[in-house]
Amino acid sequence: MKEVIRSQLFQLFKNKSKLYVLIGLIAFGIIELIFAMGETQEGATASQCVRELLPMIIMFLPFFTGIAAGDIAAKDFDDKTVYYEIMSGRTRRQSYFGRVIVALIYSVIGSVLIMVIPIAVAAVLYGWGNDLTVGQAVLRMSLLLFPVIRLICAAFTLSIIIKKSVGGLITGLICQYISLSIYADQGLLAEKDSLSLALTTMYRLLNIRSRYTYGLSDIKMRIIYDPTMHISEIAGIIGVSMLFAAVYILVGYVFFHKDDLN
Amino acid sequence: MIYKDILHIALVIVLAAVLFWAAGYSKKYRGAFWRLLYIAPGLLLMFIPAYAGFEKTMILAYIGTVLLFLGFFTDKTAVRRILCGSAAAVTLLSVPAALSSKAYRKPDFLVSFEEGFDEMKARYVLTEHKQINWDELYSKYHPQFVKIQNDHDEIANFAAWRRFCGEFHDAHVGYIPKDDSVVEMAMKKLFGNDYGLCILCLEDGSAAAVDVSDEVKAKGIHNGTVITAWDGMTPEEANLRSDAYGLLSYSDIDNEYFFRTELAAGVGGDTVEVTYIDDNGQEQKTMLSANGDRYYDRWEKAIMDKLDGGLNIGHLQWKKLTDETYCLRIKTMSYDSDTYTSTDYSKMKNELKEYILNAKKEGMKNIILDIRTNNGGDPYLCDAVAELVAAKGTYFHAYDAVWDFDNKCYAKDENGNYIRGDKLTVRGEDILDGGKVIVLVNHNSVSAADDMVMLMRRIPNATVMGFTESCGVCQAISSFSVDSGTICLSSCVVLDEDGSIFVDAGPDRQAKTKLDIRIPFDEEALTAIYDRGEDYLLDKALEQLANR
Repeated sequence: MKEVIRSQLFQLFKNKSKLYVLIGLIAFGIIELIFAMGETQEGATASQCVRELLPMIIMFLPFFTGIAAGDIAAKDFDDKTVYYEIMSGRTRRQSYFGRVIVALIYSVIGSVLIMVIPIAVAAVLYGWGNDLTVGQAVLRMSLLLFPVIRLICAAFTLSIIIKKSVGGLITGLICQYISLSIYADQGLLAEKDSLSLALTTMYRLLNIRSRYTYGLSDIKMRIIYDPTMHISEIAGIIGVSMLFAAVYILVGYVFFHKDDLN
Repeated sequence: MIYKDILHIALVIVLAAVLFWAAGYSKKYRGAFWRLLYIAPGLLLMFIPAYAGFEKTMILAYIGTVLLFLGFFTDKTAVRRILCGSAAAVTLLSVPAALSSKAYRKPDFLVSFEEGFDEMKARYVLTEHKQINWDELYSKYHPQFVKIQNDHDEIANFAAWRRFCGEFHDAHVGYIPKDDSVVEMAMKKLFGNDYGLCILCLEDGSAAAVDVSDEVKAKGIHNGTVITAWDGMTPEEANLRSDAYGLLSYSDIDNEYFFRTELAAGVGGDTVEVTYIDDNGQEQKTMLSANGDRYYDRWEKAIMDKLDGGLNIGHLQWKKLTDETYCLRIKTMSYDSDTYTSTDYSKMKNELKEYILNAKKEGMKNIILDIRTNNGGDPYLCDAVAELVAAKGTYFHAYDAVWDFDNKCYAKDENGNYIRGDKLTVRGEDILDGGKVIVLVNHNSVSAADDMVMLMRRIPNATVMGFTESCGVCQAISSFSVDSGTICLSSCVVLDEDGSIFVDAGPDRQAKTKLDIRIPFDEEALTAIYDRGEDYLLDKALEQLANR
């Protein structure tokens, strides 16, 4: 498996297209930050970005994970590299899980960079603020990685099944549609913040509980955010995401293992 | 069952049939396609709970879908067919399971209570002022909600929430169930049977019949007849025995005392024995029969309409009562959507001013502001009206409380009291040139209407009158949702001139919204309202103006 992983990493650095997608999305996040915070009337802060900007960035994350995971999963079917790998003595398990590991590592690291860099830029430019603490933001962004892993596994599995990298892109497009329907409140889903889908899990993490009060003299609304999370909620997010991720990978492996690879 | 669940079950059955057939067919015609077909149940399992919402009583359907999906992991025809058959059977069992469960697609009442309780405890700004003992409340109500969840009784849930909210004696604390049809169902059930009358207490302490039906009149009881016993109890005792007791919460104890018999005439079985004093002063007994569980309808008519109705004209409409006196009806403290989100009521004020100036040319001197059963809203409307009619001078309205932006809470001093912030005042324009203002209120004049009462009592040319004081709540509200409904509560602090809580009563349940003139609810008032259909309070207001 180590050779499979090494060869996949070599391909990653040789073929820069995925890297350009990653850089593009990071740049997009920073541009969104400057644009969105520039329109904020007063007191833009990094903690505000976590609440307002991160949901926008997250909507495009499935594209990145889809393209990255799909490419790593299925690109080698085009030039038959997979066949030669297996014919050269690698087991299907090594071939499959080697790619899974690389897809997960690359996509997770990329996702972290996409989420963190714009927020870090915001912290440097505007200060952190007090909508939520750094610890609370780190917790939420860390928990976001679990549904992201679920998405990565889904994209990987679909690409393996259809033996085309475009499987990842298809996953990204479906996720985009679902994300838009969640945020536009179209009523497609019964609950926008359930653990049923990775995207609803992400919505739950990004939609911080709040309450409001207002002054009599200025009737300005004061919103108070409550970013605390219960242990059961955290356990649910991690457990359900990992369960689905494991099922996707298992399905992909069973298919790959029995497939005649034609 | 909802159509989404039926769709789920139907899809599983159809897939089970297809995959049952495919299990044998794919043996002859091997290929990836047949293996992929078995992923379909997996996709169903992923999207259906998101589309329809996860439901515990549909667990058999989810298990059936998983069984079907397991066919993906084996190539053996026999195993696949057994899985298909099992999946179909288990899924079909979910139909009677869901239909026979009271909890099917119902909110979790216990979780809703626990979440709502925690949220209220965090947000309620009058905990110290009213000396709320949260632990005691939890101990009292948590067992009730455990039972309610077990029984899945929507009506009991609504009633328990109403009683819980009633413990705060704060009309701003309330619960609205998600399914609002439950409110009417609950009220009708809990208010009890209609025996053809309501009972209200008169000024002398006697309990008198009001809104008496013709059937009951034939038995010798009419409007004003004193009722001395109801179903073997005094009317006050019967009131306490009503299933609806506690659903109607009064912030001020004087208002609660006024209505201490309003629920009595709904208590009883198929018949009820009533003891009354006849027109000759003799005590008599009679049996009254129940006419269905319609006491709520009679109560609404007798209390909400006839007693509390207010002048029957539109909101912010005028009525000329006499050459010198006009009445402005204010049903709610809002004008339009633009003004509600700002503090600028100049448009409304100019309209009222124009009317008053024109009316003055025709002889208007005095104004009656009818804010009976005013459901509150924007205090700035009160300011705008008060500025027009108040004698010249500057009058205190209220203090805003200081907000601690760092700690996201209201600031408190070293003694734990809220700190006064911006001061709101009103400058009188005396558009009436010394004319008088009477403000008519009742116990349903709420929130910003209480605001107006406090303001008007500071104005020398204004007099507040009514049978009962206004409601007695003035802290601004916010709301939040739980699974079973919406909860609103006082969460924005308003302070009085001395820094104490504005209007709302403490543990003594005496709100600050007092009357300048209390009109006694006596036989004369009862007869005028229930026999002659007159607006007795309005007539008394005119009398007051004429006597000045």
